Amino acid sequence: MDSLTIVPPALLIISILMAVAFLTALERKIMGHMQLRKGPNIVGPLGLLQPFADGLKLITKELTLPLLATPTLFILAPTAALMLALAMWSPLPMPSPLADLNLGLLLLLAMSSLMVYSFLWSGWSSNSKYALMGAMRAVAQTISYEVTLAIIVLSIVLLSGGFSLHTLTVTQEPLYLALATWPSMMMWYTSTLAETNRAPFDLTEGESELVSGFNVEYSASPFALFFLAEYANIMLMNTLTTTLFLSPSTPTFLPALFTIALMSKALLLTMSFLWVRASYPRFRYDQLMHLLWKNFLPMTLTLCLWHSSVPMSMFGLPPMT
Amino acid sequence: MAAGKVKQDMAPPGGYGPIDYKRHLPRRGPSGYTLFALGVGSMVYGYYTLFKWNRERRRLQIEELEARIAVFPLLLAEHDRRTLRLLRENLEEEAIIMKDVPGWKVGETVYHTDRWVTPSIAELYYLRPKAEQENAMHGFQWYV
Amino acid sequence: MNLFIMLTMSSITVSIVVALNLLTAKTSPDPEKLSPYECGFDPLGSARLPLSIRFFMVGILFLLFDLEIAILLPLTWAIHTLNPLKTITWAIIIFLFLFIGLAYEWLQGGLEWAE
Repeated sequence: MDSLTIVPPALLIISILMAVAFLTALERKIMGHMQLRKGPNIVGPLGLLQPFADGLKLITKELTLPLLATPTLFILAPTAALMLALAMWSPLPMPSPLADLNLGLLLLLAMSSLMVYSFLWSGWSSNSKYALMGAMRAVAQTISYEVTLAIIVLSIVLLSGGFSLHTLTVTQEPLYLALATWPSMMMWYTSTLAETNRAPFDLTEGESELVSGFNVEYSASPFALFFLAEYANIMLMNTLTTTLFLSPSTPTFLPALFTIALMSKALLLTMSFLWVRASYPRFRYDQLMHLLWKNFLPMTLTLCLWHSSVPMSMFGLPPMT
Repeated sequence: MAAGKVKQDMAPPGGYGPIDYKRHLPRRGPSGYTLFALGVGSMVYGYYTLFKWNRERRRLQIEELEARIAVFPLLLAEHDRRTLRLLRENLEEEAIIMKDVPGWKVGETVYHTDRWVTPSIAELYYLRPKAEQENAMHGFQWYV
Repeated sequence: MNLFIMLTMSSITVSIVVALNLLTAKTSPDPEKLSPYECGFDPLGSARLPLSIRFFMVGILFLLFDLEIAILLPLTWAIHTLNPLKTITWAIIIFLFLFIGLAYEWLQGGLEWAE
Protein backbone atom coordinates (compact mmCIF):
# COMPACT_ATOMS: atom_id res chain seq x y z
CA MET A 1 0.00 0.00 0.00
CA ASP A 2 1.49 3.28 -1.06
CA SER A 3 0.45 6.89 -1.18
CA LEU A 4 -1.05 6.42 -4.65
CA THR A 5 -3.87 4.42 -3.07
CA ILE A 6 -5.75 7.58 -2.24
CA VAL A 7 -5.81 8.77 -5.85
CA PRO A 8 -8.73 6.69 -7.18
CA PRO A 9 -11.06 7.52 -4.26
CA ALA A 10 -10.13 11.18 -4.55
CA LEU A 11 -10.87 11.19 -8.27
CA LEU A 12 -14.18 9.45 -7.65
CA ILE A 13 -15.17 11.98 -4.98
CA ILE A 14 -14.24 14.92 -7.18
CA SER A 15 -16.19 13.56 -10.14
CA ILE A 16 -19.25 12.84 -7.99
CA LEU A 17 -19.22 16.32 -6.52
CA MET A 18 -18.82 17.88 -9.96
CA ALA A 19 -21.66 15.77 -11.35
CA VAL A 20 -23.87 16.71 -8.40
CA ALA A 21 -23.06 20.41 -8.82
CA PHE A 22 -24.03 20.36 -12.47
CA LEU A 23 -27.09 18.25 -11.70
CA THR A 24 -28.43 21.04 -9.50
CA ALA A 25 -27.79 23.54 -12.29
CA LEU A 26 -29.49 21.20 -14.77
CA GLU A 27 -32.49 20.82 -12.50
CA ARG A 28 -32.92 24.56 -12.12
CA LYS A 29 -32.53 25.07 -15.86
CA ILE A 30 -35.01 22.36 -16.78
CA MET A 31 -37.54 23.44 -14.18
CA GLY A 32 -37.16 26.96 -15.48
CA HIS A 33 -37.80 26.05 -19.08
CA MET A 34 -40.71 23.79 -18.20
CA GLN A 35 -42.33 26.69 -16.37
CA LEU A 36 -41.53 29.13 -19.21
CA ARG A 37 -38.85 30.87 -17.20
CA LYS A 38 -35.21 31.21 -18.07
CA GLY A 39 -33.59 29.60 -15.05
CA PRO A 40 -30.19 30.71 -13.84
CA ASN A 41 -28.39 32.49 -16.68
CA ILE A 42 -26.21 35.19 -15.15
CA VAL A 43 -23.19 33.48 -13.59
CA GLY A 44 -20.83 32.27 -16.28
CA PRO A 45 -21.81 31.25 -19.81
CA LEU A 46 -25.50 30.18 -19.84
CA GLY A 47 -25.48 30.16 -16.05
CA LEU A 48 -23.10 27.20 -16.01
CA LEU A 49 -21.10 28.52 -13.07
CA GLN A 50 -24.21 28.98 -10.94
CA PRO A 51 -23.62 25.87 -8.76
CA PHE A 52 -20.13 27.06 -7.87
CA ALA A 53 -21.44 30.50 -6.98
CA ASP A 54 -24.09 28.84 -4.81
CA GLY A 55 -21.54 26.61 -3.14
CA LEU A 56 -19.23 29.52 -2.46
CA LYS A 57 -22.11 31.51 -1.03
CA LEU A 58 -23.20 28.63 1.19
CA ILE A 59 -19.78 28.05 2.72
CA THR A 60 -19.20 31.72 3.45
CA LYS A 61 -22.54 32.18 5.22
CA GLU A 62 -23.06 32.11 8.95
CA LEU A 63 -23.31 28.64 10.43
CA THR A 64 -26.17 29.01 12.90
CA LEU A 65 -26.43 26.56 15.73
CA PRO A 66 -29.89 26.89 17.32
CA LEU A 67 -29.78 27.44 21.05
CA LEU A 68 -31.94 24.45 21.90
CA ALA A 69 -30.27 22.09 19.44
CA THR A 70 -27.99 19.21 20.34
CA PRO A 71 -24.80 20.55 18.79
CA THR A 72 -22.81 17.37 18.13
CA LEU A 73 -25.64 15.49 16.51
CA PHE A 74 -26.75 18.63 14.70
CA ILE A 75 -23.43 18.87 12.86
CA LEU A 76 -22.93 15.12 12.62
CA ALA A 77 -26.17 14.42 10.76
CA PRO A 78 -25.41 16.28 7.49
CA THR A 79 -21.80 15.11 7.67
CA ALA A 80 -22.94 11.50 7.86
CA ALA A 81 -25.41 12.10 5.04
CA LEU A 82 -22.84 13.27 2.51
CA MET A 83 -20.23 10.80 3.73
CA LEU A 84 -22.58 7.89 3.13
CA ALA A 85 -23.76 9.29 -0.17
CA LEU A 86 -20.16 9.46 -1.37
CA ALA A 87 -19.09 6.10 0.02
CA MET A 88 -22.06 4.36 -1.60
CA TRP A 89 -20.49 4.93 -5.00
CA SER A 90 -17.54 2.65 -4.29
CA PRO A 91 -19.09 -0.72 -5.24
CA LEU A 92 -20.70 0.56 -8.45
CA PRO A 93 -19.11 -0.96 -11.57
CA MET A 94 -18.27 1.83 -13.99
CA PRO A 95 -17.09 -0.66 -15.43
CA SER A 96 -14.55 -1.61 -12.75
CA PRO A 97 -15.66 -0.76 -9.23
CA LEU A 98 -13.50 1.00 -6.69
CA ALA A 99 -14.23 -1.75 -4.17
CA ASP A 100 -14.93 -5.07 -5.85
CA LEU A 101 -17.26 -6.63 -3.28
CA ASN A 102 -19.02 -9.90 -3.87
CA LEU A 103 -21.95 -8.64 -1.80
CA GLY A 104 -21.98 -5.18 -3.32
CA LEU A 105 -25.76 -4.94 -3.63
CA LEU A 106 -26.20 -5.80 0.03
CA LEU A 107 -23.67 -3.12 0.94
CA LEU A 108 -25.63 -0.60 -1.12
CA LEU A 109 -28.87 -1.56 0.60
CA ALA A 110 -27.26 -1.34 4.03
CA MET A 111 -25.70 2.05 3.33
CA SER A 112 -28.92 3.47 1.96
CA SER A 113 -30.64 2.27 5.13
CA LEU A 114 -28.05 4.17 7.13
CA MET A 115 -29.09 7.36 5.34
CA VAL A 116 -32.27 7.20 7.42
CA TYR A 117 -30.25 7.93 10.55
CA SER A 118 -29.00 11.21 9.19
CA PHE A 119 -32.61 12.35 8.62
CA LEU A 120 -33.65 11.20 12.06
CA TRP A 121 -30.67 12.77 13.82
CA SER A 122 -31.08 16.08 12.04
CA GLY A 123 -34.80 16.25 12.81
CA TRP A 124 -34.44 15.26 16.42
CA SER A 125 -31.37 17.31 17.24
CA SER A 126 -32.81 20.51 15.76
CA ASN A 127 -35.33 20.55 18.60
CA SER A 128 -37.93 22.19 16.42
CA LYS A 129 -41.43 20.91 15.72
CA TYR A 130 -41.28 21.29 11.98
CA ALA A 131 -37.93 19.55 11.82
CA LEU A 132 -39.12 16.64 13.95
CA MET A 133 -42.28 16.16 11.89
CA GLY A 134 -40.33 16.37 8.66
CA ALA A 135 -37.84 13.83 9.94
CA MET A 136 -40.61 11.46 11.03
CA ARG A 137 -42.21 11.67 7.62
CA ALA A 138 -38.88 11.19 5.87
CA VAL A 139 -37.98 8.18 8.01
CA ALA A 140 -41.35 6.46 7.66
CA GLN A 141 -41.36 6.99 3.91
CA THR A 142 -37.76 5.94 3.35
CA ILE A 143 -37.91 2.78 5.43
CA SER A 144 -41.23 1.77 3.88
CA TYR A 145 -39.91 2.02 0.38
CA GLU A 146 -36.74 0.21 1.34
CA VAL A 147 -38.79 -2.93 1.84
CA THR A 148 -39.71 -3.03 -1.85
CA LEU A 149 -36.22 -2.06 -2.89
CA ALA A 150 -34.83 -5.04 -0.98
CA ILE A 151 -37.39 -7.45 -2.43
CA ILE A 152 -36.81 -6.24 -5.99
CA VAL A 153 -33.05 -6.53 -5.54
CA LEU A 154 -33.54 -10.07 -4.28
CA SER A 155 -35.69 -11.07 -7.24
CA ILE A 156 -33.20 -9.57 -9.72
CA VAL A 157 -30.35 -11.32 -7.98
CA LEU A 158 -32.19 -14.63 -8.30
CA LEU A 159 -32.00 -14.18 -12.07
CA SER A 160 -28.38 -13.05 -12.18
CA GLY A 161 -26.87 -15.40 -9.62
CA GLY A 162 -24.94 -13.23 -7.19
CA PHE A 163 -25.05 -10.06 -5.14
CA SER A 164 -21.99 -8.72 -6.91
CA LEU A 165 -22.79 -5.85 -9.25
CA HIS A 166 -20.36 -7.19 -11.79
CA THR A 167 -22.46 -10.33 -12.17
CA LEU A 168 -25.34 -8.13 -13.25
CA THR A 169 -23.42 -6.70 -16.16
CA VAL A 170 -22.45 -10.22 -17.21
CA THR A 171 -26.08 -11.33 -16.99
CA GLN A 172 -27.21 -8.53 -19.23
CA GLU A 173 -24.81 -9.25 -22.05
CA PRO A 174 -27.48 -10.61 -24.42
CA LEU A 175 -30.31 -8.28 -23.36
CA TYR A 176 -31.44 -5.77 -20.79
CA LEU A 177 -33.07 -7.28 -17.73
CA ALA A 178 -35.69 -4.55 -18.10
CA LEU A 179 -37.14 -6.52 -21.01
CA ALA A 180 -37.91 -9.52 -18.82
CA THR A 181 -38.61 -7.78 -15.55
CA TRP A 182 -40.21 -4.51 -16.57
CA PRO A 183 -42.93 -4.73 -13.88
CA SER A 184 -40.20 -4.87 -11.25
CA MET A 185 -38.40 -2.05 -12.94
CA MET A 186 -41.43 0.22 -12.91
CA MET A 187 -41.94 -0.40 -9.20
CA TRP A 188 -38.23 0.00 -8.55
CA TYR A 189 -38.13 3.35 -10.33
CA THR A 190 -41.10 4.66 -8.37
CA SER A 191 -39.55 3.38 -5.16
CA THR A 192 -36.29 5.15 -5.91
CA LEU A 193 -38.27 8.35 -6.39
CA ALA A 194 -39.75 7.86 -2.94
CA GLU A 195 -36.48 6.67 -1.43
CA THR A 196 -34.65 9.84 -2.45
CA ASN A 197 -37.58 11.99 -1.23
CA ARG A 198 -38.19 13.45 -4.67
CA ALA A 199 -41.38 14.93 -6.03
CA PRO A 200 -44.14 13.69 -6.16
CA PHE A 201 -43.10 11.96 -2.94
CA ASP A 202 -41.37 14.96 -1.35
CA LEU A 203 -43.70 15.02 1.62
CA THR A 204 -40.78 15.61 3.93
CA GLU A 205 -40.48 19.17 2.71
CA GLY A 206 -44.09 20.02 2.03
CA GLU A 207 -43.63 23.77 1.91
CA SER A 208 -47.18 24.62 2.88
CA GLU A 209 -47.20 22.58 6.09
CA LEU A 210 -43.62 21.95 7.12
CA VAL A 211 -41.68 24.82 5.52
CA SER A 212 -38.71 22.68 4.60
CA GLY A 213 -38.94 19.48 6.60
CA PHE A 214 -36.06 18.09 8.59
CA ASN A 215 -33.58 20.74 7.47
CA VAL A 216 -35.48 23.89 8.52
CA GLU A 217 -32.93 24.80 11.11
CA TYR A 218 -29.93 24.23 8.89
CA SER A 219 -28.00 26.97 7.22
CA ALA A 220 -24.70 27.43 5.41
CA SER A 221 -22.47 24.38 4.94
CA PRO A 222 -24.55 21.77 6.83
CA PHE A 223 -27.44 22.68 4.56
CA ALA A 224 -25.15 22.42 1.55
CA LEU A 225 -24.08 18.97 2.75
CA PHE A 226 -27.71 17.81 2.94
CA PHE A 227 -28.37 19.24 -0.48
CA LEU A 228 -25.32 17.56 -2.02
CA ALA A 229 -26.20 14.27 -0.32
CA GLU A 230 -29.70 14.34 -1.75
CA TYR A 231 -28.51 14.92 -5.29
CA ALA A 232 -25.63 12.46 -5.00
CA ASN A 233 -28.22 9.92 -3.91
CA ILE A 234 -30.37 10.66 -6.93
CA MET A 235 -27.43 10.10 -9.26
CA LEU A 236 -26.47 6.96 -7.37
CA MET A 237 -29.96 5.49 -7.46
CA ASN A 238 -30.22 6.08 -11.19
CA THR A 239 -26.82 4.56 -11.85
CA LEU A 240 -27.95 1.59 -9.80
CA THR A 241 -31.16 1.35 -11.81
CA THR A 242 -29.09 1.37 -14.97
CA THR A 243 -26.81 -1.35 -13.65
CA LEU A 244 -29.73 -3.48 -12.50
CA PHE A 245 -32.04 -3.17 -15.45
CA LEU A 246 -30.44 -1.39 -18.40
CA SER A 247 -26.82 -2.39 -18.10
CA PRO A 248 -24.85 -1.57 -21.23
CA SER A 249 -23.41 -4.73 -22.71
CA THR A 250 -19.69 -4.46 -23.12
CA PRO A 251 -19.12 -3.61 -26.78
CA THR A 252 -16.23 -5.69 -27.97
CA PHE A 253 -15.16 -3.11 -30.51
CA LEU A 254 -14.75 -0.30 -28.01
CA PRO A 255 -14.89 -1.31 -24.33
CA ALA A 256 -14.08 2.27 -23.35
CA LEU A 257 -17.64 3.19 -24.32
CA PHE A 258 -19.03 1.32 -21.30
CA THR A 259 -18.75 4.24 -18.92
CA ILE A 260 -20.28 6.69 -21.37
CA ALA A 261 -23.18 4.37 -22.13
CA LEU A 262 -23.79 3.72 -18.43
CA MET A 263 -23.69 7.33 -17.40
CA SER A 264 -25.80 8.61 -20.28
CA LYS A 265 -28.50 6.10 -19.40
CA ALA A 266 -28.27 7.14 -15.77
CA LEU A 267 -28.53 10.75 -16.89
CA LEU A 268 -31.63 10.01 -18.96
CA LEU A 269 -33.26 8.44 -15.91
CA THR A 270 -32.24 11.46 -13.83
CA MET A 271 -33.77 13.73 -16.44
CA SER A 272 -37.03 11.89 -16.06
CA PHE A 273 -36.77 12.44 -12.27
CA LEU A 274 -36.74 16.16 -13.09
CA TRP A 275 -39.53 15.78 -15.62
CA VAL A 276 -41.63 13.94 -13.02
CA ARG A 277 -40.97 16.74 -10.57
CA ALA A 278 -42.15 19.31 -13.08
CA SER A 279 -45.26 17.34 -14.03
CA TYR A 280 -46.91 15.68 -11.07
CA PRO A 281 -48.60 17.12 -7.99
CA ARG A 282 -47.54 15.94 -4.57
CA PHE A 283 -49.04 12.79 -3.04
CA ARG A 284 -51.02 12.74 0.16
CA TYR A 285 -49.30 10.91 2.99
CA ASP A 286 -51.93 8.18 3.29
CA GLN A 287 -51.79 7.66 -0.47
CA LEU A 288 -48.03 7.24 -0.21
CA MET A 289 -48.32 4.56 2.45
CA HIS A 290 -51.24 2.96 0.63
CA LEU A 291 -49.21 2.74 -2.58
CA LEU A 292 -46.38 0.95 -0.85
CA TRP A 293 -47.98 -1.35 1.69
CA LYS A 294 -51.09 -2.26 -0.28
CA ASN A 295 -49.91 -2.22 -3.89
CA PHE A 296 -46.17 -2.54 -4.23
CA LEU A 297 -45.48 -4.93 -1.36
CA PRO A 298 -47.91 -7.71 -2.43
CA MET A 299 -46.86 -7.35 -6.05
CA THR A 300 -43.13 -7.42 -5.38
CA LEU A 301 -43.51 -10.38 -3.03
CA THR A 302 -45.40 -12.28 -5.72
CA LEU A 303 -42.80 -11.37 -8.32
CA CYS A 304 -40.04 -12.49 -5.98
CA LEU A 305 -41.68 -15.88 -5.55
CA TRP A 306 -42.15 -16.03 -9.32
CA HIS A 307 -38.50 -15.24 -9.91
CA SER A 308 -37.35 -17.89 -7.49
CA SER A 309 -39.52 -20.64 -8.93
CA VAL A 310 -39.55 -19.97 -12.69
CA PRO A 311 -35.79 -20.24 -13.29
CA MET A 312 -35.84 -23.46 -11.31
CA SER A 313 -38.68 -25.02 -13.26
CA MET A 314 -37.43 -23.81 -16.67
CA PHE A 315 -33.82 -24.81 -15.97
CA GLY A 316 -32.70 -21.23 -16.34
CA LEU A 317 -30.79 -20.98 -13.10
CA PRO A 318 -27.76 -18.75 -13.20
CA PRO A 319 -24.37 -20.22 -12.27
CA MET A 320 -23.47 -20.01 -8.62
CA THR A 321 -20.63 -17.58 -8.14
CA MET B 1 -92.01 51.43 -40.43
CA ALA B 2 -88.33 50.67 -40.47
CA ALA B 3 -88.90 47.00 -39.96
CA GLY B 4 -87.39 46.09 -43.27
CA LYS B 5 -84.14 47.93 -42.59
CA VAL B 6 -83.04 46.03 -39.49
CA LYS B 7 -81.97 42.49 -40.13
CA GLN B 8 -83.15 40.31 -37.29
CA ASP B 9 -80.67 37.70 -36.06
CA MET B 10 -82.35 34.41 -36.71
CA ALA B 11 -81.45 30.78 -36.60
CA PRO B 12 -80.02 29.50 -39.87
CA PRO B 13 -82.61 27.98 -42.15
CA GLY B 14 -83.32 24.45 -41.05
CA GLY B 15 -82.32 25.17 -37.44
CA TYR B 16 -79.06 24.69 -35.59
CA GLY B 17 -77.14 21.47 -35.85
CA PRO B 18 -77.12 18.97 -32.97
CA ILE B 19 -75.20 20.12 -29.92
CA ASP B 20 -71.77 18.56 -29.76
CA TYR B 21 -71.81 17.41 -26.15
CA LYS B 22 -69.69 14.30 -26.34
CA ARG B 23 -66.03 14.47 -25.25
CA HIS B 24 -63.55 14.14 -28.07
CA LEU B 25 -60.54 12.50 -26.54
CA PRO B 26 -57.65 12.09 -28.94
CA ARG B 27 -56.54 8.55 -29.66
CA ARG B 28 -53.56 8.19 -27.37
CA GLY B 29 -51.29 5.46 -28.61
CA PRO B 30 -52.10 1.78 -28.93
CA SER B 31 -55.00 0.19 -27.10
CA GLY B 32 -54.78 -1.52 -23.76
CA TYR B 33 -54.86 -5.00 -25.27
CA THR B 34 -51.97 -4.16 -27.58
CA LEU B 35 -49.94 -2.78 -24.69
CA PHE B 36 -50.68 -5.85 -22.60
CA ALA B 37 -49.67 -8.15 -25.45
CA LEU B 38 -46.50 -6.15 -26.02
CA GLY B 39 -45.65 -6.34 -22.32
CA VAL B 40 -46.22 -10.06 -22.04
CA GLY B 41 -44.40 -10.62 -25.31
CA SER B 42 -41.36 -8.71 -24.11
CA MET B 43 -41.40 -10.68 -20.86
CA VAL B 44 -41.58 -13.99 -22.69
CA TYR B 45 -38.80 -13.00 -25.06
CA GLY B 46 -36.77 -11.63 -22.14
CA TYR B 47 -37.10 -14.75 -20.00
CA TYR B 48 -36.38 -17.00 -22.99
CA THR B 49 -33.17 -15.17 -23.88
CA LEU B 50 -32.14 -14.79 -20.26
CA PHE B 51 -32.60 -18.47 -19.45
CA LYS B 52 -30.74 -19.50 -22.58
CA TRP B 53 -27.89 -17.21 -21.59
CA ASN B 54 -27.96 -18.53 -18.02
CA ARG B 55 -27.57 -22.11 -19.31
CA GLU B 56 -24.66 -20.92 -21.44
CA ARG B 57 -23.17 -19.21 -18.39
CA ARG B 58 -23.46 -22.44 -16.41
CA ARG B 59 -21.62 -24.29 -19.16
CA LEU B 60 -18.95 -21.61 -19.16
CA GLN B 61 -18.64 -21.90 -15.41
CA ILE B 62 -18.26 -25.67 -15.62
CA GLU B 63 -15.51 -25.17 -18.19
CA GLU B 64 -13.84 -22.65 -15.93
CA LEU B 65 -13.99 -24.98 -12.94
CA GLU B 66 -12.58 -27.85 -15.00
CA ALA B 67 -9.76 -25.66 -16.25
CA ARG B 68 -9.02 -24.72 -12.67
CA ILE B 69 -8.99 -28.36 -11.61
CA ALA B 70 -6.65 -29.17 -14.47
CA VAL B 71 -4.27 -26.35 -13.72
CA PHE B 72 -4.39 -26.67 -9.93
CA PRO B 73 -1.44 -29.05 -9.55
CA LEU B 74 0.69 -26.62 -11.52
CA LEU B 75 -0.39 -23.71 -9.33
CA LEU B 76 0.36 -25.78 -6.25
CA ALA B 77 3.79 -26.67 -7.60
CA GLU B 78 4.52 -23.02 -8.34
CA HIS B 79 3.52 -22.10 -4.83
CA ASP B 80 5.68 -24.83 -3.30
CA ARG B 81 8.61 -23.80 -5.46
CA ARG B 82 8.30 -20.20 -4.35
CA THR B 83 8.14 -21.27 -0.71
CA LEU B 84 11.17 -23.52 -1.04
CA ARG B 85 13.20 -20.84 -2.80
CA LEU B 86 12.44 -18.36 -0.04
CA LEU B 87 13.30 -20.97 2.58
CA ARG B 88 16.65 -21.69 0.91
CA GLU B 89 17.51 -17.99 0.74
CA ASN B 90 16.69 -17.71 4.42
CA LEU B 91 18.86 -20.72 5.30
CA GLU B 92 21.82 -19.40 3.30
CA GLU B 93 21.54 -16.07 5.06
CA GLU B 94 21.25 -17.86 8.38
CA ALA B 95 24.42 -19.81 7.67
CA ILE B 96 26.30 -16.56 6.92
CA ILE B 97 25.00 -14.84 10.04
CA MET B 98 25.47 -17.70 12.48
CA LYS B 99 28.81 -19.04 11.20
CA ASP B 100 30.65 -17.80 14.33
CA VAL B 101 28.37 -19.55 16.77
CA PRO B 102 29.77 -22.97 17.66
CA GLY B 103 27.39 -25.89 17.52
CA TRP B 104 24.72 -24.03 15.55
CA LYS B 105 22.86 -26.24 13.15
CA VAL B 106 21.47 -24.31 10.21
CA GLY B 107 17.86 -25.09 9.42
CA GLU B 108 17.19 -27.02 12.61
CA THR B 109 13.48 -27.08 13.18
CA VAL B 110 12.15 -25.47 16.34
CA TYR B 111 9.19 -27.80 16.44
CA HIS B 112 9.25 -31.14 18.19
CA THR B 113 7.90 -33.05 15.24
CA ASP B 114 9.02 -34.75 12.05
CA ARG B 115 6.09 -33.47 10.07
CA TRP B 116 6.28 -30.61 7.61
CA VAL B 117 5.28 -27.35 9.25
CA THR B 118 4.15 -24.70 6.78
CA PRO B 119 6.28 -21.64 7.46
CA SER B 120 4.34 -18.49 8.27
CA ILE B 121 4.47 -15.53 5.91
CA ALA B 122 6.42 -13.47 8.42
CA GLU B 123 8.98 -16.27 8.68
CA LEU B 124 9.29 -16.63 4.92
CA TYR B 125 9.52 -12.97 4.03
CA TYR B 126 11.64 -11.55 6.84
CA LEU B 127 14.57 -10.98 4.53
CA ARG B 128 12.46 -9.50 1.74
CA PRO B 129 11.37 -5.86 1.50
CA LYS B 130 8.46 -4.85 3.72
CA ALA B 131 6.20 -4.17 0.75
CA GLU B 132 6.55 -7.77 -0.46
CA GLN B 133 5.58 -9.17 2.90
CA GLU B 134 2.58 -6.85 3.14
CA ASN B 135 1.54 -7.83 -0.34
CA ALA B 136 1.72 -11.51 0.56
CA MET B 137 -0.29 -10.95 3.72
CA HIS B 138 -2.93 -8.41 2.68
CA GLY B 139 -2.52 -8.04 -1.07
CA PHE B 140 -5.93 -9.42 -1.87
CA GLN B 141 -7.75 -7.15 0.54
CA TRP B 142 -6.47 -4.02 -1.09
CA TYR B 143 -8.78 -4.48 -4.00
CA VAL B 144 -11.88 -4.65 -1.85
CA MET C 1 -9.34 -1.56 1.87
CA ASN C 2 -10.52 0.76 -0.88
CA LEU C 3 -13.87 0.98 0.84
CA PHE C 4 -12.25 2.17 4.05
CA ILE C 5 -10.07 4.64 2.18
CA MET C 6 -13.18 5.93 0.41
CA LEU C 7 -15.00 6.33 3.72
CA THR C 8 -12.03 8.16 5.23
CA MET C 9 -11.56 10.38 2.20
CA SER C 10 -15.22 11.31 2.04
CA SER C 11 -15.33 12.14 5.75
CA ILE C 12 -12.24 14.30 5.28
CA THR C 13 -13.87 16.09 2.33
CA VAL C 14 -17.00 16.74 4.34
CA SER C 15 -15.03 17.96 7.35
CA ILE C 16 -13.09 20.34 5.11
CA VAL C 17 -16.33 21.90 3.89
CA VAL C 18 -17.60 22.43 7.44
CA ALA C 19 -14.23 23.68 8.66
CA LEU C 20 -13.97 26.17 5.78
CA ASN C 21 -17.37 27.48 6.70
CA LEU C 22 -16.42 27.84 10.36
CA LEU C 23 -13.21 29.65 9.41
CA THR C 24 -14.49 32.00 6.73
CA ALA C 25 -17.99 32.90 7.87
CA LYS C 26 -18.64 35.90 10.06
CA THR C 27 -20.99 34.99 12.90
CA SER C 28 -23.22 37.42 14.74
CA PRO C 29 -25.52 35.33 16.91
CA ASP C 30 -28.56 36.80 18.56
CA PRO C 31 -31.33 35.08 20.53
CA GLU C 32 -34.02 35.63 17.91
CA LYS C 33 -31.90 34.13 15.15
CA LEU C 34 -30.97 31.13 17.23
CA SER C 35 -34.43 30.24 18.51
CA PRO C 36 -36.16 27.32 16.80
CA TYR C 37 -38.19 28.32 13.77
CA GLU C 38 -41.90 28.41 14.56
CA CYS C 39 -43.79 30.97 12.47
CA GLY C 40 -42.08 33.89 14.14
CA PHE C 41 -43.35 33.07 17.61
CA ASP C 42 -41.45 31.86 20.61
CA PRO C 43 -41.66 28.07 20.53
CA LEU C 44 -44.57 26.65 22.47
CA GLY C 45 -43.89 23.53 24.50
CA SER C 46 -41.31 20.85 23.92
CA ALA C 47 -40.52 19.98 20.34
CA ARG C 48 -39.56 16.41 21.14
CA LEU C 49 -42.76 15.09 22.65
CA PRO C 50 -45.55 15.27 20.07
CA LEU C 51 -45.32 12.33 17.71
CA SER C 52 -47.96 10.41 15.83
CA ILE C 53 -47.98 6.75 16.84
CA ARG C 54 -48.52 5.86 13.15
CA PHE C 55 -44.88 6.53 12.38
CA PHE C 56 -43.90 4.14 15.13
CA MET C 57 -46.23 1.51 13.67
CA VAL C 58 -44.63 1.91 10.26
CA GLY C 59 -41.24 1.46 11.86
CA ILE C 60 -42.30 -1.80 13.46
CA LEU C 61 -43.86 -3.05 10.23
CA PHE C 62 -40.63 -2.25 8.41
CA LEU C 63 -38.63 -4.19 10.98
CA LEU C 64 -40.84 -7.26 10.62
CA PHE C 65 -40.84 -7.30 6.85
CA ASP C 66 -37.18 -6.45 6.47
CA LEU C 67 -36.20 -9.20 8.88
CA GLU C 68 -38.19 -11.76 6.94
CA ILE C 69 -36.64 -10.53 3.72
CA ALA C 70 -33.24 -10.90 5.35
CA ILE C 71 -34.17 -14.54 5.91
CA LEU C 72 -34.88 -14.81 2.19
CA LEU C 73 -31.60 -13.26 1.05
CA PRO C 74 -29.61 -16.55 0.92
CA LEU C 75 -32.18 -17.85 -1.56
CA THR C 76 -29.72 -16.89 -4.27
CA TRP C 77 -27.43 -19.70 -3.22
CA ALA C 78 -30.15 -21.95 -1.85
CA ILE C 79 -31.68 -22.50 -5.30
CA HIS C 80 -28.53 -24.40 -6.25
CA THR C 81 -28.93 -27.19 -3.73
CA LEU C 82 -29.09 -30.75 -4.98
CA ASN C 83 -32.76 -30.96 -4.06
CA PRO C 84 -34.43 -27.87 -5.47
CA LEU C 85 -37.86 -29.09 -4.42
CA LYS C 86 -36.90 -28.75 -0.77
CA THR C 87 -35.56 -25.26 -1.33
CA ILE C 88 -38.66 -24.09 -3.12
CA THR C 89 -40.89 -25.65 -0.46
CA TRP C 90 -39.12 -23.74 2.28
CA ALA C 91 -39.07 -20.58 0.20
CA ILE C 92 -42.79 -20.86 -0.33
CA ILE C 93 -43.32 -21.39 3.40
CA ILE C 94 -41.40 -18.21 4.22
CA PHE C 95 -43.25 -16.30 1.52
CA LEU C 96 -46.50 -17.59 2.98
CA PHE C 97 -45.47 -16.20 6.36
CA LEU C 98 -44.94 -12.85 4.69
CA PHE C 99 -48.24 -12.98 2.82
CA ILE C 100 -50.23 -14.08 5.85
CA GLY C 101 -48.55 -11.41 7.96
CA LEU C 102 -49.39 -8.79 5.39
CA ALA C 103 -53.00 -9.99 5.09
CA TYR C 104 -53.39 -10.01 8.88
CA GLU C 105 -51.99 -6.50 9.16
CA TRP C 106 -54.25 -5.37 6.34
CA LEU C 107 -57.39 -6.87 7.88
CA GLN C 108 -56.57 -5.48 11.31
CA GLY C 109 -56.29 -2.01 9.78
CA GLY C 110 -52.63 -1.53 10.55
CA LEU C 111 -51.99 -0.27 7.05
CA GLU C 112 -54.64 2.44 7.16
CA TRP C 113 -53.08 5.83 7.68
CA ALA C 114 -56.10 7.94 8.53
CA GLU C 115 -59.17 6.58 10.26
